[in-house]
Amino acid sequence: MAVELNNIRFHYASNPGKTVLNIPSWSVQNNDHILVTGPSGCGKSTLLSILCGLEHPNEGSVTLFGERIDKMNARQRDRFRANHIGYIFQKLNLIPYLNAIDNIMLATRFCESNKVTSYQEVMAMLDSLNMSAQDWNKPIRLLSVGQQQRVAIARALINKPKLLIADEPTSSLDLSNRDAFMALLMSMIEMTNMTLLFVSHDVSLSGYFNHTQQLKQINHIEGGDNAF
Amino acid sequence: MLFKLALLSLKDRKNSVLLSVLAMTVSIVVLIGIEHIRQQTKANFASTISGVDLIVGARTSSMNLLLYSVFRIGNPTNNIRWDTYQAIANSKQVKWAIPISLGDSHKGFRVMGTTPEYFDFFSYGQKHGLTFKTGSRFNHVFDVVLGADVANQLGYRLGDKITLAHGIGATSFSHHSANPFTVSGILARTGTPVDQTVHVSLQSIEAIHNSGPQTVQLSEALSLIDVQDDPSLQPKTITAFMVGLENKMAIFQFQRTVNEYALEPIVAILPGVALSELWQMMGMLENTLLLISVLVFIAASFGVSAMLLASIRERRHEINLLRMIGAPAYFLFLLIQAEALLITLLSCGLGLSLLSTCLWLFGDELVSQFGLNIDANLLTLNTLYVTMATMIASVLIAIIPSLTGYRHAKQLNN
Ligand SMILES: Nc1ncnc2c1ncn2[C@@H]1O[C@H](COP(=O)(O)OP(=O)(O)OP(=O)(O)O)[C@@H](O)[C@H]1O
Ligand SMILES: [Mg+2]
Repeated sequence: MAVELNNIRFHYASNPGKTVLNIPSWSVQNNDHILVTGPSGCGKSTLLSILCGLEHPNEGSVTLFGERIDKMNARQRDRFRANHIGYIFQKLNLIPYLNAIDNIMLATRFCESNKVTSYQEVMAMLDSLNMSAQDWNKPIRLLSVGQQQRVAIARALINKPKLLIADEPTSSLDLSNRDAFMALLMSMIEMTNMTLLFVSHDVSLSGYFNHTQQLKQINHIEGGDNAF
Repeated sequence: MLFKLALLSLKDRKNSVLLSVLAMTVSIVVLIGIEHIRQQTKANFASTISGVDLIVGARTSSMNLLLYSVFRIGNPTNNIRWDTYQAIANSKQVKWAIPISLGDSHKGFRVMGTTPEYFDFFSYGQKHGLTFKTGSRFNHVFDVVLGADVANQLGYRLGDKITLAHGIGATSFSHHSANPFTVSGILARTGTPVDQTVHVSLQSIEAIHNSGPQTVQLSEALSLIDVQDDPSLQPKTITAFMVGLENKMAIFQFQRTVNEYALEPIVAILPGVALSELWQMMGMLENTLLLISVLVFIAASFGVSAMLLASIRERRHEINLLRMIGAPAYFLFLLIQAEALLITLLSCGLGLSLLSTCLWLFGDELVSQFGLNIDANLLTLNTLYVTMATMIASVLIAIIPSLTGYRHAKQLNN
C-alpha cells in the first residue's frame, strides 16, 4: 500500500472546536493514480499536509509505504518528505527569485538518495517538459504561469519520489493550459511506478485518473460542512 | 547553497536591504573609525615628548603648561623673565635647559623661538632625537627650520624665502625685504606637534617684535654667534623652558626648588606625569565616544533584524515551499542568520574601504587641523577584533528574526 490511514482525527490547533478530518480508514494502492474531489474548505489541503508530515493528526495512524510517519520525529519526517514525496501546489510552487535550474537543484539538496543530480539531468528534464533553454536561467517570476507549473512538475519529479501529491495545480490555468499541463504530467509519470494523489474541486479532470473519490466519502464529519 | 539562497534572496529585496546595509556601514565607519583613531592617538600621545625631565613655565595648571609648551594648544597666561630662566639654567643640577618662546603663527602653524641646542636635546617616542630631512639647524638670525608637515603643506623647500612677521613686525620688515627668513632646514617627520611647528631663533623673535629703526638695518646674513651679545636682540621674556637634569633621582627635589622660586611665580611639571593626566581626561572622552559608537552599531543591528523580521511575513510562501521540499525548520534559522551575516559582511567591507579612503584623502587635513597623525592602514589586529565583534553581535541580534523564521517553519500557518 502506498497510503494507509486509520482512525484519523484532526483539528487545527488554532481552532480546536472544529474537527476538519475524521477518516476511519482509507488507503491508496501502489502505482495508483487517484483524484480526490471536494468543495472548497472540505479539508483537501489539510489531508495532504498530514500525508506529507507537515501536520500531525490528533489521533490515528498514517502509514506511507509501510512506514508510520506519525511515529517519526520532526527531523525524520522532513527526511522522509525530501526523499519520497513530490509536491505540486496550486500556485507559488517555486522560489520567485531563483531561476528554473536553481529551483530544481534546491529540491535535490534535501534529498539523500539524490545527492548526485547533475545540471545535465535537470536540463534534460526541463527539455522534456518543452521548456526552451532561454527560459532556464530567468528568475521564475519572469515566466508565464503555464511555464511556472511546468518547472513545478520538474521540481516535484527530480528526486523520483514514490508519491506525487498535487494540490489543485490546474486551478490557476485556463482550459487549454490545463489540458496541456495534465497531458504533460501524465506523460511524465506514466513510465514510472509513481503513486499520484491529486486533489481538485474540478471533477472534469477525472478522465486522467484510474480512480476518482469524493472526499466526503472518505472524511466523515458529523453534520457536514456547510460553511460555503 | 545556503549562502547562495541568502544572497539571491537579499538581492530580491534590494531596496530595503540596501538601506539596512547603508545604516550598518555608517555605524561600522563610526565604530572602527573611533576605535582606530583612539588607538592611534593613544600611541602618538604617549610618544609626544621624552628625555625632558621638567618643563618650567609661568605659574598655571600643569595641564595648561603641557598643552601650550608641548602641544602648542592655547596661549600661555604669562611669560617668564629671561633672568629667571638664566638663574635656573645655571644651577648646578641642570645639565641642559632650552628656552622656548611661542606667540606668533605662520599660515596656521605656530612659530616657536628657541636655541639651536633644541635640536640636540628634544626627543620623542623611544628617545628618538630630531633629525633633519634636508638642511640643518639655524645658524643665522633669520634662518628658519620647518616641521615636516609645515614644509609639506605649504610646499616650502630648502633655501625658500618666507615672511614670518605679522602685525607691527611686518611693516618694519617690508622696508627691508619682503621675505627676510630663509629655510635652513626641514625636519624629518616625527608624528608629534613638532611636525607642525616653525622653528626660529629667539633673537629673530625679538627682532620681529622690536620694530625700532635699528632692526631694519639687520642683515639676513647675521650669524647667531655674532649677535649673541647684542643687548637689543636679547630676549626679555620667554614662554617656558625644558630642563634636563644631571641626576634623574633629583627630579622631585628640583621640581620643589623651582616651584618655590621666590623672584617670580613659576611652576615645573614632569611631562610624563602631565601627559598621563591629560590622557586620562581625553581617555574619558574617547571612552564615551566609543560607547556611543557601540550603541549606534547596536541600533543598526536591530534595524537589520527588524528588516529581516518584516521580510518573514512576506516570505511565507517561500518558507512553506522550503519545508515542502524537505528543508528542516532549522534551515530557515540558518538562512536568516546567513542573511544577517551577509549584510554585516558587506557593511564591514564597505565601511572599511570607505574609512581607509577617507583617512587617505583627509589624513593631511587631520594632521593640520587637529594635529592627529592617523595611519590610513586599517589592517591592524585591533580592527580585526572589532570587525569580529561586530559579526558576533549581529549574529546574536539576528537570533530574534531567525527564531521567528524557525517558528514559522515549524507551525506553517499558511
Ligand atoms: N492553518 C489553519 N488554521 C486553522 N484552520 C485552518 C487552517 N487551514 C485550513 N483551515 C480550515 O480547515 C478547513 C479545511 O481547509 P483546507 O485548506 O484543507 O480546505 P480545502 O479543501 O483545501 O479548500 P480549497 O479548495 O479552498 O483549497 C477549512 O475550514 C479551513 O478554514
Ligand atoms: Mg486547498
